[in-house]
Amino acid sequence: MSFIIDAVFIGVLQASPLILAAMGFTLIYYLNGFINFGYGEGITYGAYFASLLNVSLGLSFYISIIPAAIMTGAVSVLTYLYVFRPAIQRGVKPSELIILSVGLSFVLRYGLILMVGAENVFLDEPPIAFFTFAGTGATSLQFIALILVFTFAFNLYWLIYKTGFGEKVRGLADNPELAQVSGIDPHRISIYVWFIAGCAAGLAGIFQGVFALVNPLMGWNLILITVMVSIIGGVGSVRGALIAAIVAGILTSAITLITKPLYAEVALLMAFILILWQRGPRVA
Amino acid sequence: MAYLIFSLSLLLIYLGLALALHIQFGLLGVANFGVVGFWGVGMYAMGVFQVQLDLSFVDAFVIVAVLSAAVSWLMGWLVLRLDPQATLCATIAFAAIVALLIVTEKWMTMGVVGLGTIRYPIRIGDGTEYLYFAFLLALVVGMQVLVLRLHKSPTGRLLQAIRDNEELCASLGKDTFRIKMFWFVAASVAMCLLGALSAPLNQFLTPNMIVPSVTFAVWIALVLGGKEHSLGAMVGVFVTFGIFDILIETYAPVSPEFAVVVPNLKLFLYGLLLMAVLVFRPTGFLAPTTPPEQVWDSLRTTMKTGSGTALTIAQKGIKALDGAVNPKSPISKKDASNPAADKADKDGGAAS
Repeated sequence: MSFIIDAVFIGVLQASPLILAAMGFTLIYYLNGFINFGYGEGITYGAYFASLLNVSLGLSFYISIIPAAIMTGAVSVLTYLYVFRPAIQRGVKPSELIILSVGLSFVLRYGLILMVGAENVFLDEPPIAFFTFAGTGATSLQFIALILVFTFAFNLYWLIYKTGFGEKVRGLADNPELAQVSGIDPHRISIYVWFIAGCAAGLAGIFQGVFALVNPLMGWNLILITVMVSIIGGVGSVRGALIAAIVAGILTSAITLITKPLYAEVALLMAFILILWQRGPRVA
Repeated sequence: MAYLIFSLSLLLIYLGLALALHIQFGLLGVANFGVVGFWGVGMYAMGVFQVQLDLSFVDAFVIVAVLSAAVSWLMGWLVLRLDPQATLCATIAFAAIVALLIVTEKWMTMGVVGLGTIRYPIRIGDGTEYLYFAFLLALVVGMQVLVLRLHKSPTGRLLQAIRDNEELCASLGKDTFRIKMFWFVAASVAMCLLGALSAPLNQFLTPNMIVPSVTFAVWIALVLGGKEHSLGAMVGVFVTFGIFDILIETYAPVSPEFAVVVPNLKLFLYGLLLMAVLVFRPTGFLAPTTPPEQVWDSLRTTMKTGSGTALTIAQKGIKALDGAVNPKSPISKKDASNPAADKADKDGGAAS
């Protein structure tokens, strides 16, 4: 019993960056219909923007969260406006857009390394208190991260499923022609969606960075599992991404408690391939 | 000079990988993003058999070939029915699994410590590297010739037809899954064996060789050169690997402090080049060897002359039925002079 509590507790705490990343990723996948590997760099950039504000400018960690997320959102919008939108308008197919996003991810990642170097950066953590809860411990930082993640997640959920804006996004993703005829401006909606997704990636990066460390490859290391979780959760289903990310987090921590952490990753990846295979030719 | 021959050998390995990927993606349309997974399986299997089990190069190579066929078949069985985006994710996951297992299974691969030394098949003193280079050259030239011949053959056109419209090919009586499986496994085994052959070049294997950058370097080369052209892989590898890794890293006079930046700058420029090509010239430097219309023309010819295809049988059946019921039917009458059959074929092709 205590094993289950431990697994769920650690899993949910560790899954918080993944929940954010998967929810944002799935929005872009839903709207534009391609896997955006460049999204992983949003995670890295979020962490680096936070380190710029937090370490270089000496702001408190909590104060630097929001501006860093907004800056990442802006980068995401810029990539949409200057890379993906022109490509889509020139008729680049979805499978080629994926390769394009890989190219963009290289440019952003190695551009960052050329600018700031490849060394690990550590964020200045705020003073932390230690809590115990049902036999397991966690820091105040982890609790705050968890609260922020769930606030963001439920706001996003509400935005997509309960508001007029969400209806427009879903309409545009399901039937772009019909949506345009109904007077929805695809350009504006896309900019909003890419901004929100970028903010989510930035927040994911900030929390990933403060729990571990910040380096230029962190986004790349997280993108595969993000893609996995979004696909298993169902394309465009923010709800599905949320649930799948939590399940993946709990599974990872459960397997990690039994054996080595790397085996948890192997098991997740194998499960992912088998789920895809079981789904068969249906679109991922 | 020794470094140059090493770089050139590595270039040949990359060219071989790009050619195999050209068969998988350019001809079959299977987006294999796990190139480094297959390559790594071959390379590490070679290392493990040679170092841990002390087999000779040839023995190890034969076992690697059998093992890689099994792995490739399993992967083919898992991914070939999926849609392209799912295939891409599954193969990327495969490569990640291979990389992780190499780190965890220390009893076999020595983990992050590294595995060595891997011997060349023959040692002839100072000339070993040159002899091995000549062997790789012959092998890769052989692969290129095979690809060129494949493009000219009916099989090559069939593969492209499956890529463009698998349902239609299946309806024409082709066992598309089996054909895809055969060529996917063949190309994947080629990747594994190229990995096995690159093990002696590196001599000492470490997990940080099995990184996604290998996959992307091959993909970038293929997409730049022209993924559907028979010479695209070669052009792409010469432009990327040839210019950056050989010309610049070997000959360019760079100061030591700048030399650290060069590999990162290279990957940055790879990305930029890839983006520019995809946006401004999606076919790559070289356009497809066989334009799509020609592929379907040739298939239509097969349909007219070949027997046993579903559509021909259906047409014959309709004509026979019609002839039996109404001997003066316009269908059976025109059939005697035959232009109707041609027209029907063309309409069928256009409609598809």
